[in-house]
Amino acid sequence: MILPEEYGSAGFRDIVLTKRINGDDDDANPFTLINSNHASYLPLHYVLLFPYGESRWHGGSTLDNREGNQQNKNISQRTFYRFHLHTRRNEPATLFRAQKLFQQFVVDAWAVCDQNKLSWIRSHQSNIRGDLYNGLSDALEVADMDLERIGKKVVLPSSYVGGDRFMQQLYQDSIAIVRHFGKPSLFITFTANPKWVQIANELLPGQSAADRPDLVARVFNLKVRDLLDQIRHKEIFCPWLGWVWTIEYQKRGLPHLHLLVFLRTDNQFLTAANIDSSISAELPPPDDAISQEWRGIIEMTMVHTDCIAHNGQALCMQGLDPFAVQTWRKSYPRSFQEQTIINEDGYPTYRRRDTRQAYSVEVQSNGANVTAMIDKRRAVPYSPYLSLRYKGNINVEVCGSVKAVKYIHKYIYKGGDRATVILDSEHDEIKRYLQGRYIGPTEAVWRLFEFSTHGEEPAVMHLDLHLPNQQAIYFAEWENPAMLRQRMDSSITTLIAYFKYNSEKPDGREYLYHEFPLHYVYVRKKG
Amino acid sequence: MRPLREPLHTLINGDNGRSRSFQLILRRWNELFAFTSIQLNMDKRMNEMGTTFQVFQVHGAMYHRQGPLVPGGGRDALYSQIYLYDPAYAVQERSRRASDLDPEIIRSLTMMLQESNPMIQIYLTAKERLAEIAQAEDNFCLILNPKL
Repeated sequence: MILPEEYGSAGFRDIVLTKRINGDDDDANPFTLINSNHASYLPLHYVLLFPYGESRWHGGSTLDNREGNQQNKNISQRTFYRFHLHTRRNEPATLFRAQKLFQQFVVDAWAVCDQNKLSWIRSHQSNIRGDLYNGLSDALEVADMDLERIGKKVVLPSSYVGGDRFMQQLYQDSIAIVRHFGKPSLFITFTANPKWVQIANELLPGQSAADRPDLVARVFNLKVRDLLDQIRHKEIFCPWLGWVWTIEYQKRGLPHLHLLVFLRTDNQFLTAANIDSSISAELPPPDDAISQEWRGIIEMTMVHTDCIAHNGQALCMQGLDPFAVQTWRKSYPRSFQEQTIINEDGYPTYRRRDTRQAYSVEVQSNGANVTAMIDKRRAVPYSPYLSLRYKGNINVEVCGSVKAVKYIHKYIYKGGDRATVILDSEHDEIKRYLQGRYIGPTEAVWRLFEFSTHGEEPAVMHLDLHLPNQQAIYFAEWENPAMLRQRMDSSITTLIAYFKYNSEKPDGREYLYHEFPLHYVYVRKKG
Repeated sequence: MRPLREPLHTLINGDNGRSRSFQLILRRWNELFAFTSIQLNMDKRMNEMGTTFQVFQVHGAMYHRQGPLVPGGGRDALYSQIYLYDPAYAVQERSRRASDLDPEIIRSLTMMLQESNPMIQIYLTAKERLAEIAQAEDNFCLILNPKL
C-alpha cells in the first residue's frame, strides 16, 4: 500500500481505496469498479476459496524459471488461470469442490481475460482501422483536415474469436471451400454427453458433471479430436477432402460440434444402398445380437423424446436440450418408410421400417421422470459406428443437394447466443458485442484452455478485390499526411501483384485470379 | 494452494448434513465474506424453463466493485467495510444480515479469516492512514500495490 504522492498516478492495475466517496450520501450506488489486473482481484471476492488471500495473476507475473536457462517470460492471464484449472495430487481440490461457486469462478476468470482483450482492442483502434484508399485521397485534398476524424467508429476486428466479423469471415472461407470442392457430403452434429465414463470416473465424490465444466470441456475436446481423426485418417466414410467445423455451447452449458465434411465421392455415392450402409434412422431390434449397451445409447441420445414430454413444446426445438439433436429440419415424429429414397430436392428420406415395436424410455419432464413410449419414427439419423464409439449424441445427415449448403453454413456460423441490444447512434462494435454476449462455465473453461473453437481445411487465402486506387490501407492516427501519402504509394495488394506478374511474365496467364494461388505463392515484402 | 484450515476444510470437503447444506449455498456464504461485490447479469433463461439443471451463466460484462471504506448515509456496512469492525461486532452484523444462516458457522469463519487473511490487516492499516491524512481533505485515496 502506498500513498499516491509516493507513486505517481494510479496505474492500470491498482486498487484505489477511499474513505468516503464525495456526495455518496445521496448516491444510491457508491461502489466503484475495481481493476481486474490487480493481483488480489479474485482473492478479494472468492474469500472462502482463497482464505489466505494469496495473490493471483497480475500484469507483471513471470514464469518461475528454476533452471535459469531461459529468459524470464511474462505469463499471460489466461495461462495463469489455465495452470490452476488442473487438479493436482499434492494440492487440495478446494476449487473443484465449490460447485456453483466454481462455475462462477471460471466464468469470472474468462470474463476478465476477455474484457482485457477487448479493452486492448479498444485502445489500439488506430492500428486496426482502415479506410478506403480512394476516400482517403479525397479527404487529403481538403485543407486543414483533421486526420483523427477519419474513421471514427470502433471496430471489433475479424481476428477477435467469436465476434461478428470473425463469424462472417469463417462463413466466407467456408463458402470458398464449397466453391472449390462442390457441396459437402455429410453434416454431423456431436454433443457432449455428461454421462461419459471418462467424466464420471474423474468426478470427486458426490459431484455431477455440471459441477465440473473443466472435465466436460477436456473430455469433449479429446473426443472431437478423435472423431476428426477417424474421418480424416481412418476414412470411415470415404476418402477425406476437407471440412469446416465450429464448437458451440448450448444454453445448458454442454458443448457441441457442427461439422461439414467434404468427401471424395463419385456421382454414384448418393444411393439408397450407400446411405443405408453408414447411416441409420432405425432402432436396433430388441432380439438382435447388438448389445444392450448400444440400445441404451441410441435410446438415450438419438431419439426425440422431449417432443413427447412437453406435448410438442419440445426443448430441443428451442436448442435447450442436451440429449436431443439440434437438427435443422424439425418434423418429428416422421412417418414409417420401407426404403431409403432420395427426394427430388436432394434430401434423402431414411428407411424407418414399421416393425410394430416400441420402447419405453425415461423422459424428464419438468424435473420429474416420466415413462414414454417411443418408436423409430422419432429416431434421428445416426451412424451406428460413431454412436457406439462415442456413446453420445452424434447426428449424421447426408447433404443431398447444393440447396442446403448455404442454409447449413448460416446455421453453423450463426455464432453464440446473443441478445439484441438497442444502442445509441454511435458505431461501437465492442460495446455491442460486450452487451450481447453470454458466458457459461463450459465455454469459459474451453476458452481458458485455448481449445480450438473452429477449424477449416484446406486453408483459405483471402484475395483482395478492389477497383483501381481503392485498395484498403491501414494507418495509425498519429501519422502525418506525408507518411500517409508514402504508405498509399507503396501499398500493393494481391490483385495488383497478379496484374503486375502477368503483364511482365507469360507463364501464368492461363490461370484465373482465384486459381493463381494454387500454382504461385504471394510473398509479402516489407517496405 | 495450501490446505484449508478448520472449520472451512470440513465445510467444503465434508460429507455430513452441515457441510452439505453449506456447499449447496456456497456462493451465498462466499458473498457474505467477500471484500468486493460482483456486478453481473445472471442469465435467467434456464430458470424460466423450469429445469433443475444448474448453470451459472452471465450476460454482458462482469465487474468487481469496491466501496468506500466507511459506509455513507447511515447505510449498513457491507463487504470490506465489515472487516473494519471489531471481529465480535462483525459476527453480529453478518448474522443480522443473514439471519437464516448458522450463526456458529459465521462466528467460526470470521475468526478463522481474522487469523489467516492478510487482506484484513491491509484494509485496517489503510483506514488508519486515511484517517490520519484525510482529516482536512475528505476525498483522499490510497492505492493498493498489485505486488502485495
